Amino acid sequence: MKVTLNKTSQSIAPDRNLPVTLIAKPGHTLHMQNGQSVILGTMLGQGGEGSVFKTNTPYVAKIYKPEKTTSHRMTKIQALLDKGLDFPGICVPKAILYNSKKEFVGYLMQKAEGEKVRSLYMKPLFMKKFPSWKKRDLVELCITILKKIGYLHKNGIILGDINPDNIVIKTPKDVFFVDCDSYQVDGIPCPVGTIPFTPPELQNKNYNSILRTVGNENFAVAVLLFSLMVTGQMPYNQKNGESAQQNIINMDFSYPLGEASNKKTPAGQWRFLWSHLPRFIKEAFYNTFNKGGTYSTESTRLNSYDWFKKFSEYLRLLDSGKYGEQDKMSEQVYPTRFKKQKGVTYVKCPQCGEETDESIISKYGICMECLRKNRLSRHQRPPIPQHKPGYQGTFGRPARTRTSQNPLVTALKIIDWFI
Amino acid sequence: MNRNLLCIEDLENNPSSRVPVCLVLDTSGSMEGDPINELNEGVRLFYDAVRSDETALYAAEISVVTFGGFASRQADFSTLEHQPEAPQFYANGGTPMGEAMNMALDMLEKRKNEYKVSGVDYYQPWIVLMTDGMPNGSQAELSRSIQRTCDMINERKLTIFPIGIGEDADMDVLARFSPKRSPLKLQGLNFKEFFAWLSKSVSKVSQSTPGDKVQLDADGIKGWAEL
Ligand SMILES: Nc1ncnc2c1ncn2[C@@H]1O[C@H](COP(=O)(O)OP(=O)(O)O)[C@@H](O)[C@H]1O
Ligand SMILES: [Zn+2]
Repeated sequence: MKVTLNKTSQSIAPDRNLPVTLIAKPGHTLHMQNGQSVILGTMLGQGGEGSVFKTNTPYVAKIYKPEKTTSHRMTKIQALLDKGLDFPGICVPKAILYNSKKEFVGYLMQKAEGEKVRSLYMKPLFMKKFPSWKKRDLVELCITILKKIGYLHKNGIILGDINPDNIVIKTPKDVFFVDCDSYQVDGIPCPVGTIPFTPPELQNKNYNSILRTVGNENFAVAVLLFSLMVTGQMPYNQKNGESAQQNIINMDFSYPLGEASNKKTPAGQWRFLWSHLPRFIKEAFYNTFNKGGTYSTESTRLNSYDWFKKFSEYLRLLDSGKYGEQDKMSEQVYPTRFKKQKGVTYVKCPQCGEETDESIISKYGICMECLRKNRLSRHQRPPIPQHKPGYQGTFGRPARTRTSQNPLVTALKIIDWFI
Repeated sequence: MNRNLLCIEDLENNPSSRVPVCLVLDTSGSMEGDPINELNEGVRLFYDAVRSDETALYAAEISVVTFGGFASRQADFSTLEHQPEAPQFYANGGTPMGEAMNMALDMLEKRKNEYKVSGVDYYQPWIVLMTDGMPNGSQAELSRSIQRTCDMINERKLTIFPIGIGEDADMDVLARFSPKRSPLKLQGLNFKEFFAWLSKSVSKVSQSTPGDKVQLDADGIKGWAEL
C-alpha cells in the first residue's frame, strides 16, 4: 500500500456557526434534501456534541447542540454522503436533517445496539455482559472490526479517533461503528484523538491541523487488537515505567517475545493472556510496538488486511480444536497461568490448585504466583482507625523532600469552574 | 481477605485507568445537627451514584478523611466494588484541617505508587475539601499541607475543589489551598446537589482517556454553589 506523508490540511474557509432557531425535539418533523421526512422519537443517548434520537423509521437521528452546527461539520457530512458508503454496522450519515425552517440540525444513521468496547476492558463488566465468551469470540470480534476498517480504508476514509467508545458490540459478528461524523474524509481532518491510540510520530501534535495517513492509523488498529487480545490492557502500560505517552514515543513495549523483554509487563494475569497467544500473533504485535521492529514505522506497519489474515488463521486454529491441543486453557478469555510448553512436566500447586511447571515450584512447595501473593499479603496496610486519636504519623516533622517521580499520566486539565 | 492483597490484586485484575478522589471533610463540633446529617446523606448519595455507573464503579477510587477533633481515615482508596458502603460521620471536636490534608496527601502518594508498581494508569487525582469553620490544628501542619497541595496543583498533579459551608467558613484559608481557582460557598446545605454534580463529573472523567481535557458541567455548579 502506498503511504503518503503527513501534510497539514489545506486552508479551507474558516468554520462558522450555522444558527438554529428551532431546537429539534421529540415529535418534530425533520426533512431531508430529497424531500423525505422523519419524525423524532425518544432520546437514546446524549454526548458532548449532541443527542441521538429514535425516529419513525429503522434509522436514528443525531441532533447537534445548536452551537455545534457549523459549516465544517456540514461539509464533512456531505463529503461522507458523497462517498456513498454502505456497509452493515458502519453508522455513517445517511442523510442531512433540517428543521422546518430549513436549518441544518443533524443527520440520519443506522441504529447501533450493544455494549461499548470499553466494557470489555473491565474484567468484572466483561464477565457480566458476555459471560459465555471464549477466546474465539474475541478473535472473531477482531475479524469483524478489521473487515469494517478495511472497507473504510479502501474507500479513502481514515477513522482517526479509533477508541473503545466508538465501537459497539452486540455479538462477535454484529458490531457497530459510531461517531462516524468525525472521520477524516477528502482532506478534512478528524479533529479528535486519544493518547493510547496515537502513533509515536503524531504524539503531541494538534489533531485539528493534521491529516492522518493509513500508516498512522495502522498503529491505532494494532493497539485496538492488542487491547482486545490482552483484554483491557494497552501495549504501553507498564509497571515502574514512564508515562504511557512517553512509552509510546520511546516505543518501549511491555510484553516479551522469547527471551526478549523489557521486564516491565504489568503485574497480574496479563502475562498469562499474552503467553497463550499464538507465536505468529505475538510476533506481529512485538514487531509493531517495539522500536526497530519489522513493522514498527508508519510505512511498514501491518494494515487491516494483513491483520485480517492473521486473525482468520488464529480463528481457524481455535475452532478446529487444534490450538487447544497443546493447552486447553488457551481457549479461555482469562487464562490463570502461563501456556503449557511441550516436554515439560506439570504438577498441581497445593495452595491454588493450578497446574504449574514442576521445575519452578518454589522451595516452599507452592507455585511462584502463590509465593508472590503470600509475599504481597505480608506487606500490611495499616488498619482503618475507628474512634481513636488517629493521625500522628508526620505530625510536626519537617516537610519531606519528595523525589520527583514521573507521573504515569500527563495532567488531566479540567475546567475552571466559573465558566 | 487481607486488605493489602485485595487492593493490589484489584489493580492486577482490573487494569482500568483509575480516577482517585479523596473527600476531606470537616466533622468538627460545629457541624452538629442538620449540617452533619445533610453531609452524611450527600456522601451516601455520592456512593450510590458512583456505584450505579458501570464505568465509574470500576474506575473511581474513593477515599475519605475527616477532621473533627483529629484527622481520621474513614476509607482508603478503593473502587466501590470493594467498599460499597459510605462511611457514617459524627460531629465532634476541633478543626485540624492541615493534619487531615496531610493525611489525604500521604494516602494519595501511597496509592499512586501502587498504581505505578502495578502498571495501572490514572487520571489527575481530585481532593474535595469542605469546611464550615477555621482550622485550629497545628499551624505548622497547616502551612505544610498548603505548600504540598499548591506544589502538586502547580505541577498539574492534583485538582482541588475547595468548598465553604455556612457563614463562618474560612474562605481565605480555602483559597490558600487553591492557587488556580477560588473556593466556592455551598448554597445553604445543598450537599446532595453538590455530590450529585461530583458523581456526574467522576463518571464523565472515567469515560475519557487519561491526559484528555474534560469539560465539567459548569451549569450544574449553579445547583449547589453561591455564585
Ligand atoms: N447509531 C447509533 N445508534 C444508537 N445509539 C447511538 C448511535 N450513535 C450514538 N449513539 C448513542 O448516543 C450517545 C451520544 O452519541 P455520540 O455520537 O457518541 O455523542 P458525542 O459524539 O456527541 O459525544 C452515546 O451514548 C451513544 O451510545
Ligand atoms: Zn499456587
